[in-house]
Amino acid sequence: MLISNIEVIPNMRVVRHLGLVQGSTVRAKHAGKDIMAGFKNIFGGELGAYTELLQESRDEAVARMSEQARAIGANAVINVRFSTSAIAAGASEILAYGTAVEVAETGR
Amino acid sequence: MSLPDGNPRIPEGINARNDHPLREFLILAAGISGALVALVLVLGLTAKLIAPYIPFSWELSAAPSMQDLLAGDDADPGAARALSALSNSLLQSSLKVPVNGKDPKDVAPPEHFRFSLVKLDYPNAFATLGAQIAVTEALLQHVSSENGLAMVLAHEIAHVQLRHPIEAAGRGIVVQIALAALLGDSSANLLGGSLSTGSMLTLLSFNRDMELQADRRALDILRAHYGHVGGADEFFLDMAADPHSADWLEFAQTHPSSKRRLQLIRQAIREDGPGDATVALPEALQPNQPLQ
Amino acid sequence: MEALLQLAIFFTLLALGYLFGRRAESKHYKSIREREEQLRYLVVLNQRFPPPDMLSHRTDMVTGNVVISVDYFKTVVAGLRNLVGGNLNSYESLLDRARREAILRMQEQAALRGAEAVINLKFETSRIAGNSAKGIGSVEVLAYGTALTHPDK
Repeated sequence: MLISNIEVIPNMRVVRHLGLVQGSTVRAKHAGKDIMAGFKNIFGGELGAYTELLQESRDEAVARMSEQARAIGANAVINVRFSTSAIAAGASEILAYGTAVEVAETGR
Repeated sequence: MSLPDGNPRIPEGINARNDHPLREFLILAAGISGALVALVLVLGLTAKLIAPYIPFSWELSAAPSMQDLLAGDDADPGAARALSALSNSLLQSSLKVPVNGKDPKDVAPPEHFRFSLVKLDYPNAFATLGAQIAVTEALLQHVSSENGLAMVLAHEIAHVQLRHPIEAAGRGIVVQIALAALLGDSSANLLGGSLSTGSMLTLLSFNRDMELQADRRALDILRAHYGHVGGADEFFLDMAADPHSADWLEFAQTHPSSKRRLQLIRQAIREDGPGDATVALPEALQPNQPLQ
Repeated sequence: MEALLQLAIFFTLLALGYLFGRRAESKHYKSIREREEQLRYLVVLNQRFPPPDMLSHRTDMVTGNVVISVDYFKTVVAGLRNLVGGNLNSYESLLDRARREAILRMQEQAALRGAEAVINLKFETSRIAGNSAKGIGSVEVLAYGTALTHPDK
């Protein structure tokens, strides 16, 4: 599955537009990591646990978006956009959406 | 390249799993409550181990006032004075009985003890943080001699000297924190808010082991005070006579395993022999009207 | 006694939240599926440029928004899940519903103008009305895009 956030992919042409696909996930870390992050807030610096959480969520959201695209017979998702929102304390929602298309190589 | 002729029919269950929500809830609730029970057990044990080492002065500063907790009016000052006098003389006798090999003076300095008589219409006695001991006026109608009342007071003194309030409070705080973590802020306010204020007494209730320990020490204190333990079972006998009354239920809520305790006391009386005659209640504490 | 009463209130709320929340959710999903089928002809894409055959179409911005609230049962399950970590399934279905509902409302607005397609769709999600400190309370989802209408219409 080709995932891209541009609309015109070099050396590829869009054969067919299939429509909008989206993948979203809400995830949380276990309480221990939340507490550690709370301590970290005092000293500053990167919150490793949350970096990891958001990365995992983003991967999951992209995976779900791809699953939707695959289900309708697409082989690429173009113009992908991410949107993140804090839904609850310690939990975040990540949404990935894009246009599912069928692409073919231009053979140039 | 043109537009599709319609939006795609995307299968359900990709972004929102079709799992039954109750299943997730049950698994989570079972797992977390299991872990919580283990945690509370461990922390309860720790509280027991740590309690003797917490300086008494800390307990004093953490103590809420008994008046706030019970919200009862002050009783007749004469009776309150008589109760304090009896309590203080018992307290002096209790200093002769070491607490787990330590001098009771060091464990809980006697000058910090506060005794009060509160105007509540159910028979009960409380010991809470900061060596505050309260007896309800209604309790006086359930004892017929000074010895019976002395047993109740000695029992509460024993709780304080054994550091039970701080141990129970420690456990109570643990339970509250665990609840708050478990149920989130909103529900913890709903559930825990009342625990922290209104039901402090319920949290400060002691478990079976504590009650039995306190009873044993109370009997020792009575022996040191009167030379015998005759009459120690009065209050229990009186309460047990009508085990279905509302008074009894109220009492049983804060004092578990009363039957077992009565057995212990009676056994002590039997072993010590009948002893000397019991002492009459001080006049100020005698009920002026018969039990209804 | 008091603690028992609180516990009873808690479980009543839980049961009410579960029963009503679940009923509302399945009803909502049913209506979403029906309307999605009706508006299937109105294509929604997030690509930025109109297709070549629609270059002279009229463009209008259309929006659709929805504020959806969480039920007590979901909050409690999510609270439990928050301790352990992992996917908060109960919130996922909520957001899924909200997002699809927002698209539908946007499509309905576009349909009123007689549009053929909506392009450059964007989403905006925000948590509003903090009626509970830790739970999510309610979420707003906004979907907006550009409706393409044939110039003769």
